[in-house]
Amino acid sequence: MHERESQQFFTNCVVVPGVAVGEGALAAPSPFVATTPSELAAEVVTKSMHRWSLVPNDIDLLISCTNTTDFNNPGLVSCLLHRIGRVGIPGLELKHLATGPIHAFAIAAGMVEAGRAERVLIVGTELLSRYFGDRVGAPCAEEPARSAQKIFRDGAGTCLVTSAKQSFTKDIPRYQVSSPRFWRGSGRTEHFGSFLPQANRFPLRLTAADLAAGRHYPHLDSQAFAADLEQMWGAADIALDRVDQRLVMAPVFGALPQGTTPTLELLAEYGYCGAAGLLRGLCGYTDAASTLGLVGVSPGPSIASVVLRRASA
Amino acid sequence: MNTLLSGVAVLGTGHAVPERVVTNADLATYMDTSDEWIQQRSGIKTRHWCRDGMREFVGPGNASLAEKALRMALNAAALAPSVVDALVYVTISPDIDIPGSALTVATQLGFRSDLAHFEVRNHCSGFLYGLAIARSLLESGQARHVAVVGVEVQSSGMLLSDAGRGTAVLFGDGAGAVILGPSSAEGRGIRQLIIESNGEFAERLGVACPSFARPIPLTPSDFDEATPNAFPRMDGSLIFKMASTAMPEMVRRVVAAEGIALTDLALIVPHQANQRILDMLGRALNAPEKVFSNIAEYGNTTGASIPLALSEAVRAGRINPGDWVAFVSFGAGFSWGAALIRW
Repeated sequence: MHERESQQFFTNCVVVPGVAVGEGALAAPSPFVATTPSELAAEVVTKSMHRWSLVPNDIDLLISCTNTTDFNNPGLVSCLLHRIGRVGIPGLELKHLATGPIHAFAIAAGMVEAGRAERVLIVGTELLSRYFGDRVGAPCAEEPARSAQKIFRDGAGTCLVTSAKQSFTKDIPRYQVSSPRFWRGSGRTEHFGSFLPQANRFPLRLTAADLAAGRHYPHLDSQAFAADLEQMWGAADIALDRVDQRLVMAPVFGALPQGTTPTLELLAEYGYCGAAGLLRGLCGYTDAASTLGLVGVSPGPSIASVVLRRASA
Repeated sequence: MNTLLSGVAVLGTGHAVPERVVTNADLATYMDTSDEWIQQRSGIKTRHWCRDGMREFVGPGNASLAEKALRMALNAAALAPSVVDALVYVTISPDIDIPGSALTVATQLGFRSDLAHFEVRNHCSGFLYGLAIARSLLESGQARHVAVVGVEVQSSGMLLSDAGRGTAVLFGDGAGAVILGPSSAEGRGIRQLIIESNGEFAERLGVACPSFARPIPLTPSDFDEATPNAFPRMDGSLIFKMASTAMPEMVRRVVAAEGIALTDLALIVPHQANQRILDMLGRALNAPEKVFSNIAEYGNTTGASIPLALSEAVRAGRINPGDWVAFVSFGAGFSWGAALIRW
């Protein structure tokens, strides 16, 4: 881990894309008006299981990546496990927005490599538009809430992390996961994030007057956040220079250092759909590039990336 | 995930709580309750709160408590922050919604900017999930040292009125931390770790709102006493019944998986939910003297309770090198689990 910038190797774990849902780019409203997060997640899990010819009992760890849960607590993972009828396995909930799947890959690959799990299901689910649920059809007039409202979108996607020895039908791509992965974090929270408190902090940290004034909305200062990112890359992940294609889920365009191309900016395709973004990008990726760089950018700012190498069928 | 593990050890522990102590008598000024009523049902005498009654949040916040606990754990492990490769941050009450508190703490402590951080939301069993994450990172060579902190500031979310007396008296604020790394002796470290769950009971314990299952996640009416969706809800009798069964069973399973006897255990460090549950655990295992309890002083600190209790047990001399120590939890989700450590 200490020499991550200068070394690149691949684990014996593969990422197997599943099924994703979500519609619309930046200009489109959410299609999920009457859906709950766990319903959306269960839909993609059920379809993915069918695609992989697996059943829920074949999964021995579920990692849910989301910021938008059915209940404040327990998290989405409990509701999802119940919906798919899986009892008795661990359900881990990670809250990271766009970098969530990279964090989940690190845990899942570690579990599989150490023989602690055979098949880890990763689900990214977001109904981010609901942060602005009381402003449907009435855009926020105030910046920086307006900027966040413009990009927050919904969706869900899945993937499976398992041993490279596991076989799947030839039409399902498999990608070996790189190790180490690349992480950057700065602890600056003011330019992008959400102060909507965990509900249990509301009485003392946010008042009814704050609610009326819209101070509970997520906020994004695009220019300042982009400047934060530029400083953070520093000794950039040189592994990203060597891949054939990069999929980036960031709240601003041009998040990668200049010159790292070709890059598919998922923001243009899907809007900013947090933890669902990279999984939607991976599930929908059909080109035959042999190496893919996945890059997630979350509030913090936090940057995480992983390199995937296409495995032979 | 239920397999033998060796080689990942606890190198240091730490804990922190707010200075402000809230007694049962203090709470009786806000709601119809009494010291006798609370102690009979929970065994709790005091709790440490960041909140000063109905008036204000006086701090410290979630990140500050975590920082103190981590600093103590690093000192105990005689390690500098710069050697930590990953931080696993277990909480359901971060200072802000997004991005949570982990990066703030990492910056305050002087962790490296390439630290891998994990924001984990798994409630009372969160610390066991944190151990599982740390173990996976260490065993797979992704990290050499991992910090795991469980921290909660729940006092500011309690409904201080008769409508909230069933839960407000139970919860406290605090933090506990461990530093994990390679074991220096053969056979020492985390030997067994099992986590399980059943989402059927998700609505029986937790906080409903903000709920993204609704068009508007949070509204002012969620704070009304008649519809307190923003405050904890708990089916106490169901939880007592299930926890009293699951917790001893999980301890038996990790002990059996290791091939040792229950009598070999030096100490059991359980999630501190209720003294009555801890008493049941001790009776079921025929070892009440081995069940560590600090709930009388701190109340239920959710994800912080096991590492906080562990840190106190270590400093009280209750754990010595070579001892067999079990952790066990049951909580929201429902999720439960146990770990067995050779200290």
